[in-house]
Amino acid sequence: MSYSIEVNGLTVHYKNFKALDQLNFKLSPGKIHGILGRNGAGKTTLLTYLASFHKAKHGTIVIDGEDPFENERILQGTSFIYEKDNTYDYDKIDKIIKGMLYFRPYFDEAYARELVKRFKIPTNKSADQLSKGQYSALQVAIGLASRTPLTIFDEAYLGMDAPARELFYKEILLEQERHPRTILFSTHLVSEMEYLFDEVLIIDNGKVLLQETSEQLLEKGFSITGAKEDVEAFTKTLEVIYEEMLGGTKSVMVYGTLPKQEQREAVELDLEIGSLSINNLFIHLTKEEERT
Amino acid sequence: MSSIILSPKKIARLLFMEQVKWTIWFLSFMFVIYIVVVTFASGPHSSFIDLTNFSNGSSGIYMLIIGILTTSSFFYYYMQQGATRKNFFLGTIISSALIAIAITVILILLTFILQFISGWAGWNIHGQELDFTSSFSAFIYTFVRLAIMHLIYFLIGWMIGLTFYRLGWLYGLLSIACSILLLAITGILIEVTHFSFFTNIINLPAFIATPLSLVLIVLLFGVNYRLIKDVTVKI
Repeated sequence: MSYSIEVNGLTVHYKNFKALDQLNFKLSPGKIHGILGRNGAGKTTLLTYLASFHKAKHGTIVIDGEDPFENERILQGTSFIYEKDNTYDYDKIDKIIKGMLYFRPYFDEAYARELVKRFKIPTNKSADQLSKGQYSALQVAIGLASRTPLTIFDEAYLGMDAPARELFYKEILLEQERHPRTILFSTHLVSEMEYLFDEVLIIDNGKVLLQETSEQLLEKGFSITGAKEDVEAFTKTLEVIYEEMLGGTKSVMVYGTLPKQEQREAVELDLEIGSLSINNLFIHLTKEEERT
Repeated sequence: MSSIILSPKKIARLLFMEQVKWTIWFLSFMFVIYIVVVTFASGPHSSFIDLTNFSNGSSGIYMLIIGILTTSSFFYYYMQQGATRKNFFLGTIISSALIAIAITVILILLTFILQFISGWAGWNIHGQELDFTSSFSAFIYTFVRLAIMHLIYFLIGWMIGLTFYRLGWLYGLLSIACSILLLAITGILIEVTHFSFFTNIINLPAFIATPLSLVLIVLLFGVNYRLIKDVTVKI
């Protein structure tokens, strides 16, 4: 069970500031979507609208064929996990986990307990006694075990240490195999998580900058390494986004696709062609926007 | 998908279970304070008011406070768990009515028990303005008035909390001003409250005052629904 999402013309103003500007996109069900953007790009704003924490005034949101706002069925199937403050959460961890059975129809208590154990969260403590990272991990564990058709993680890993994050990413992939659902991930830790994403939506200055599958996006850039003169001659007409020199060897990152013909030429010139990471492309694409 | 889990009934049940715990804490303190005071204040030559009269006022304020806290402590939580605002609203109405009745029942029951043991304990307890021991109709009348008063106080508190949450502190302060007016009106309608400015001037008969207090309740339902129905959940 997983929800599809369709957003049309979503515009959000905060007083004079346009947080989201005419957003149009579709997210296919059952996939892991990376929602990427710089700080203040509008990621969290968008996600709070998708979670129906706000009512959309301009534009429409359709989730699983229906308007999600005040929609019992859609809301019950939507989890929104984000960085929360645990100062005033005095409930025992055990009680929090049990309590979820009241709220989420597909909640798997045994799985939640297993995750909590693997994240090394002490279940006899109350939530306000947990560290920031442990509390984040608890939220993440509940989010995973809730098995809601739409699960939104908004920078949910904040405070979690590297091993915990690694475990989280692994579990996401395993869970997606067992119980496919629509997962939205907002992040700026792109390099660490990019292998998770089936599709990528990049938001910049409140606008959709790009929406592609990970494969499509990865085809949009490549690296070329070889002798300095050859590389420079070859990339004269190309859009170079980054370059690096080491002795006589030069390595450049290029944005754009490389036709077969040019690929052959590169091989003839003894140049090495490699792929770029989503992270490299993300940095380049959002920087580009800044210049204009 | 299976049926809706967070129905108004379910939310009401969960809220009630939580609020009843708070209420028992509150009433326990009230009870202890009363016992201490009554032990010192009443004797063979002096009498002291009964528990219901004694806690009248503080129990109203207690309802006001849990009304204010409803938004900050429960609303946000249930929104995170995937409830709709409407279901939360309906659930809160049910649970607040139940709490208003429960607190009244417990207070009156405790008062009866205390009356019963007062002879043995050597206390001299008398009823004051609230009479519910002289006849059955007097009991019903007092009971209904107290329950309605508790409910109205809760709804006013809920309105204040919601206004602060939705519209910020400026409108929040305005809502407090508005509440003082509403409390004064409640004082006219239901004389049991201690918050009554004009009771000496206006004296409404029960057959007018009771329907008017029901109108006030419906009005507060309406205002609170308007405030909650599309409110932004803050994160």
